[in-house]
Order: sequence, then structure tokens, then C-alpha cells
Amino acid sequence: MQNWFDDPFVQSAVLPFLVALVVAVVLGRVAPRWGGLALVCGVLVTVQAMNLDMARLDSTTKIVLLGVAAAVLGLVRDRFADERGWLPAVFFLVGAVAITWVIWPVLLRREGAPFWYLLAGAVAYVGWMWAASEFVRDDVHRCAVTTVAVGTATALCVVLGASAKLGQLGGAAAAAGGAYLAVALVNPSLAGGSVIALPATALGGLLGYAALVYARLPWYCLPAIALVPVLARVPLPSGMSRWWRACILLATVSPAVIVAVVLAWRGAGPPPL
Amino acid sequence: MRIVAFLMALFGIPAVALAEAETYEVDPHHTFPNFTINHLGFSTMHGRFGKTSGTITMDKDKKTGSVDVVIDAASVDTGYGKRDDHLRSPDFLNAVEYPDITYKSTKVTLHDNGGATVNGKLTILGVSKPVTLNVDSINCGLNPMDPTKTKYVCGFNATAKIKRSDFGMNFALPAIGDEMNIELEVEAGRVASK
Repeated sequence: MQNWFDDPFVQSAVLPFLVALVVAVVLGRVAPRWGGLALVCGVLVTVQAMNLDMARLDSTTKIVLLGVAAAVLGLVRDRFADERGWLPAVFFLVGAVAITWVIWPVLLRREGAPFWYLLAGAVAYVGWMWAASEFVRDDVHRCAVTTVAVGTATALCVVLGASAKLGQLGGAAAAAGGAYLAVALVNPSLAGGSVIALPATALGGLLGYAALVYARLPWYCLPAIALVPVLARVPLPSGMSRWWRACILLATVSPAVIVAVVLAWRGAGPPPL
Repeated sequence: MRIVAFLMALFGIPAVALAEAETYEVDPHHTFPNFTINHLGFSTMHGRFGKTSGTITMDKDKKTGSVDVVIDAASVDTGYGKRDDHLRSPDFLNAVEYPDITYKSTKVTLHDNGGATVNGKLTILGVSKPVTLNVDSINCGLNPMDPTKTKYVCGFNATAKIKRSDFGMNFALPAIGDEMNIELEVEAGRVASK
């Protein structure tokens, strides 16, 4: 049994999928607005299965903490459901501060142009990803598909970029997103919202840029992943069934995922199997 | 007799003062920390770090000394580039976030048989744990490759065992072994006293 829990596929796909499924099903019935907590629950069960030492404040544990904070922030945001034009800018700034905290030990050792290039890239990508959650939060299928696509692209690219640990966290987000999508297809009361959209894009942004800094992820994969929330905004005719909506959304975001993974493969090489 | 004793003490004081600890600078081209670890239960993988620097002091009269070395975590080399990239990543050494592995002695005991025991703190991933190095024999002499015949070198091999989980390196346990055997091959040149 212990060997089963030591399997990386179980840790980063099976367990988060099952946990997210249960959370989404239960909360989807009693508190649909909170169903998006399935994502952060799935990621946390992977953290536990991987035996990550959360008492040590390194870049990985910072990312996990920020993912949980993003879910809490998303819950608060969902409390005020109306459109607030200034919120994307606020989330951009929060994302910028978040990634600065994650890569701070490296920034401290740089000066001049290398410092500014590293910081500018971090702020641009991660700030964008945090802000982009606002583009998809209003539709449960857009939320779920964005979660699956960003998680999958991040997981595969980061593994190719030589960090299986960060990749497993991305995989957990993708698996949890898949469970959430499955529940959304059968339960129309599930509500989406920033509670899932924000941690999905926030984790994708943080994991991706951390892999660029701390592992060997090529930077040019990240713009492809950054396109996912934009592609997920594709207009869909009203009255379309949930299944068709999900299929079209998945088909629309898939090219960005494929391009990101192909670029990672070409830049970093195949995984060392 | 008292005058003789006084004169002996008078001349003895400078003699004691001259027997100082000698300082040696680690030769980075002949000093390599090596390690072995079980790989998936199939074989024992070997690796080493290519960049080490630091200083060693030895007081042969008092049979003490000190060791202070810094190992570049990113210099890990297992003979396979992709694996070395993985070892440098946050999964294992996290070399970008924690670029230095350090060892600072707390107590050095030079034995009469030429060996030594070094107690000290090993720091990996920012976590410090006590580790004891066992030295079989310290061999010193003039470097025969030095044309000036003035370069005095001491060298030794030291061994230790650690568990990587003690330092927070938990990824892929138990598939990749927890216990690591460490062997350091060290050569250091004596620094001329000022």
C-alpha cells in the first residue's frame, strides 16, 4: 500500500483527482460557490503524498502557500460577484509581489541588467496569469478547462525542464481541474468563480516561472501557456449543451498547450527516462 | 639550577610560540567530494562535485585543527547531463536557491597513527546537521611536480555517511536511496605564513 502512495502518478494524478471529485460533488450540492475549493484540496493532498516539508520555507513551499492564499482570495473575490474593472490590475500587482517573494534569493544575487530582466519577466508572466483569472471566472466550464489546460501545460513543460517535483504540483492542479470539469458536466449548479480560477492561473504562473529560474524550463514556453485564459474566452453560442461547450473549449486551448510542450521538448530535450 | 631552569624557560617560550597551526588552502584541482547512492534498487550510482574551495588548519603539536570548505552545489557531475540538471533542480540540491554546500568543523582530533577525526556541521539546502569525517591518514610533503620545490602539500581521504532526508531532500524516497556514502579526496597547499 505504501508503494502505491510512493508512485508519482498516484501522488500527482490519481489522489488529487479523487479528492477533488469528492470535494466538488459534496460542495456542488451544499455550497456550489465553494466547489472550486476542489482544486486547492487536490493540490494539498499531493503535497501530503509527496511528503513535502512545509515547515521549510523554500521556493516550493512558498508556491504551495501562495496557491492556498489565492484560493482564499478567490473566495473573497467571489463574495463581490459584480464586475470590478480595477481587479485585474490588483491581481496583477499581487501576482508580481508573489513571484518576487518566490525568487527573492536569486534576485538578491543579481545586479544590473540580469536583475531587471529576471524581475521584469517574472512580473510580466506571473502578474498576467493572476490577472487573467478574471477572464474566465464567470463561467464554470471556462474555469475548469483553463485549470486543466494550464495545469497540464505547466506540468509537462516543467517536467521536461528537469523538475519532477514542481511538475507533480502542476499535474495535481490539472487532475483536480479534470475532476471539477467532470462534475461540472453533470451538475449544472456548480458555479465556477475565482475560488478555482485564481489558484489555477496563479499556481500555473508561479510553477512555470519557478521552473524557469530554479530548473531549466526554456522561457519561450511561458507565452504559450499565458495564451490559455485568452483562448478560453472564445465566444460560445447560448443554449449549447455543457458537453459541447467543454469540448469546444478544450479544443480551443489545446493548441496553446501543445505548442508549449513542443517548445519545452525542443528547448530542454526529452525527459531522462 | 634555578638559573638553568630560568634560562631554559626563557628560551623555551619562543620555541613554543613558533609551533603554530599551519594553514592550508584547498587545491580545487585535486579536491573532489564524491558520493554514492542507491538508484531505484538497481545499482549504486556514483557522483561527485567538481568545485570545492576552503581552508584547513593543522596544529600537529596540539593535535587539533579546523576545516572550512565550500562546495559548489551546481558542480554536481554523475556523468549524465540530464540527470545532473535534475539533481540541480528543486527536486534535490536546489542549486540555484542554495548554491553552496558547506562543512565547518567544530572539533578536529589528529591521531598518533596519522589519521584524524573531524566533527563538524554539514549544511545542505540551508539545513545544518552534525557529520563526522573519518580520515585514514594525512600525507604531507613537498610536491614533486613543483619546479621550485617549495610547495608543501597535505592530502587525505575522508569518509562519512549521511541521510539526505535529514537535510530536507525527500524527493523520490525510497526509490532513490536515503543513505549516501561520502568520500572526499583532498589536497591542500600550505599557505606561507606572513
